[in-house]
Amino acid sequence: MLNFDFSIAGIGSLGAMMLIAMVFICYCFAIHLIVTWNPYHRPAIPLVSSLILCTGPMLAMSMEKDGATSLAEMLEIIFLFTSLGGGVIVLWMPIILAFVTFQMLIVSRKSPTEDPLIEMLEN
Amino acid sequence: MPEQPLYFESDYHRCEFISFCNDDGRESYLKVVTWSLISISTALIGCYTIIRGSRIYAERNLPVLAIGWFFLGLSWWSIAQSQWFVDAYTRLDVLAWMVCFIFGIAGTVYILFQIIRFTENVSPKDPPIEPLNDNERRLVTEMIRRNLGDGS
Repeated sequence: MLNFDFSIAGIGSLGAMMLIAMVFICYCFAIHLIVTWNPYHRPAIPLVSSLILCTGPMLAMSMEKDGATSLAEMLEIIFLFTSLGGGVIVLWMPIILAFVTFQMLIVSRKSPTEDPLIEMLEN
Repeated sequence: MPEQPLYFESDYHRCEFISFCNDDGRESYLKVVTWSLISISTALIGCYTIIRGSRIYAERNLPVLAIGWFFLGLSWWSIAQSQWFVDAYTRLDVLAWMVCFIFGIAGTVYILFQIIRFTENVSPKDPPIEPLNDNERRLVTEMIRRNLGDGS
């Protein structure tokens, strides 16, 4: 049904995959900090750090050939990194789903336990 | 994903890095995205329905439980149909990518953890919170009793 090949020149090395993971996680973390903005979480330093860790490798990759970059190139690399990151996470899905299915089996057969909080309130 | 402009169009930009931007890989890429979304969404619906139908929050509801397992089965079926997973799991280089990706995630989480710890250390500490007085304690107890107790 599906036939897809990640034939991306120069990106298949193992170190590059670790770098893509870093960019992907920092990208998600930055979005998380922005959409759940709360000054009591002290988000400024983590947000700046994750943006630096996120944009650094992308900027380096876009400037690799001619030492210059453009918005179109940056957007292309953002798309590349996020789609590759998402793709590898999807590759883990059968293993994650096997674990989740096992958990659902336990949940389906489980009986509720006595709530210790209610007992504590009554005493 | 919008269609790529042709070379004579004004907004044409040649993709340097992404193979599936220009060539036939685009169709396969869209298929993988579509089927992945189907697998993930059916798995999420299935898990939610199973939890709703089990005896966690209320009495067991067998029809709801059966619908949940149907959706989870549908998710497994969509994965089993996908040649993409078979290709990936039989290639050593892709398996190595997957493992390296997990190491990358672990390393990044550790770095972010250290950054958050540093931020907490350099931020001025908040004064200690006063303990609840009798009125507040009664209020909290009543809220818990109403939410978890008999509801009366």
